Amino acid sequence: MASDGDAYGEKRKYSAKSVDIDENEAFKISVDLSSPEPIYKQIYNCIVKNIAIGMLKKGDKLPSSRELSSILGINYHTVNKAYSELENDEYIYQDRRKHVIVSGIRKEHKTMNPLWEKQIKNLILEAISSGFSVDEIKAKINDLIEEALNQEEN
Amino acid sequence: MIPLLFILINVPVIIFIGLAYGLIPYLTRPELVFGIRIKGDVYNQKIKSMKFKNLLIDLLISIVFTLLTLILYVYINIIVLLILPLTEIILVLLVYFYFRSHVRLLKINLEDNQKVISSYIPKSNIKVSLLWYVFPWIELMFFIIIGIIYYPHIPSRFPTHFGLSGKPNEYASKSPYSAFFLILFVGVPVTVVFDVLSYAIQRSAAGNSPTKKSLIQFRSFNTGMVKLLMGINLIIILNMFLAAAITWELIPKSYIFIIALPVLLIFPLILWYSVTTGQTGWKKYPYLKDNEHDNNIEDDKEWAGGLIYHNKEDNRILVPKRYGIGYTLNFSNRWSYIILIIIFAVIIISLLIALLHP
Repeated sequence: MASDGDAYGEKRKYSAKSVDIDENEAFKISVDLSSPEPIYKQIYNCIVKNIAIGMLKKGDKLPSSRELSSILGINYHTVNKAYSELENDEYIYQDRRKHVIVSGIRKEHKTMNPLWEKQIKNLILEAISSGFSVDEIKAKINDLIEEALNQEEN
Repeated sequence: MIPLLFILINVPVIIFIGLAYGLIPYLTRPELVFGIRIKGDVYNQKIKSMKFKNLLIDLLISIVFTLLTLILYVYINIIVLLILPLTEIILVLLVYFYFRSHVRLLKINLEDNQKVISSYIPKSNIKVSLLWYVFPWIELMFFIIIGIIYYPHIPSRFPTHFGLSGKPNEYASKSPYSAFFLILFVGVPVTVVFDVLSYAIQRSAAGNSPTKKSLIQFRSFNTGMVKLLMGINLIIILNMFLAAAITWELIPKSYIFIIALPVLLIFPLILWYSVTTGQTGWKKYPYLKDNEHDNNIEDDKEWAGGLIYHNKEDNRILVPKRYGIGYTLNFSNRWSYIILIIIFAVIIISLLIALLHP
């Protein structure tokens, strides 16, 4: 699927003539209803991922929680919860006209959240105790970074 | 002359209704058969033959009604002529409900096993060049300027209404109000309504968890729709000018049939757009690959008769039609009723003004 790298197939002339096609005009949100992970957390993660891969940039407008809930066909309160968590973590904010705006990738955070550092350290130690070598862990981490930033990955 | 003009408009309307309703099953998204969401094989023989029978019956109805119009034309019964298109719509809708009841039997009620909802969300509204909105206003200005230049030549008393025999039966004395009535009091409000509608379409969102492909198609459909509406707007303004030019005697009264011609352009234009684009643009970009499967979310219960949409969970007002090409209102949203009341109020008030006018 990804090998040709062209979502529009071979006959690109059919799509290229129209200006309304732009790869970066739309971002993806996917929710797995059967997953044990709460739905609001899944929406949260999707938006964080879209910010990380550069799909959502600073100043981009998100649909209101009511709009998003009708697009996805899920409860309004679920989306609202995801939005308030995102707002708490400063990924998004509401402007004066109540539009939901993306804050973008924060430049000022040069030190990692101590909690994350602790979690990563613990995971590394767990992996080493389970018999993985340091090189294997480094290679795996690189793979995971690539996988996380892959747009098509689901 | 007036009855001939009437035939010139009435017969194309009747043919258009039959043709449009006959073609709708071919133009709606393949998974929506007679307004019912079908899962699995949507191209099977039964569905194919139903679509074909629907087309044949609708065409037959429009032929019968065309003949009826021509026969009744001899007796000049204008009331009967007026209700013919309405009767035809009721009949083709009955044909639709007949086939719909048969499609319902084909529907296999799969359990709602949709586990993963994937949706593409646009970051901005579609962009349509502002020029499209400006064209009709330029046209209005152009015709107003022609009117101002010609104004000294307009007769001091001119006919404003023509009886059935083709003879004028109402006159107005010349004034800027009477001379520019059609352009200013019909042309301008129509243009405002088209602008508002186009703006609403430009901002309308796709529902039902669109895939990347269907979102691109829908946005392209909306862009085309705004341009189509502006095209229709241009034609209506031209029509108002032609009608005004006849009352000004800029165009001889015997050429009155030409005011039917622009209106006749609208039907082929709508058919052409519907056939090439399809419902919500599904015929566009056939080579576009979709990485996801279509989100076949069960939504039949939100569509009464496949025609009337009511969904409390959906905050949209304007939604794409399920059976047909275009838009309809979400009747769970109270704004839909307010909009309908405003539209009916405008029509009734303008009819009352026309009737009460001395």
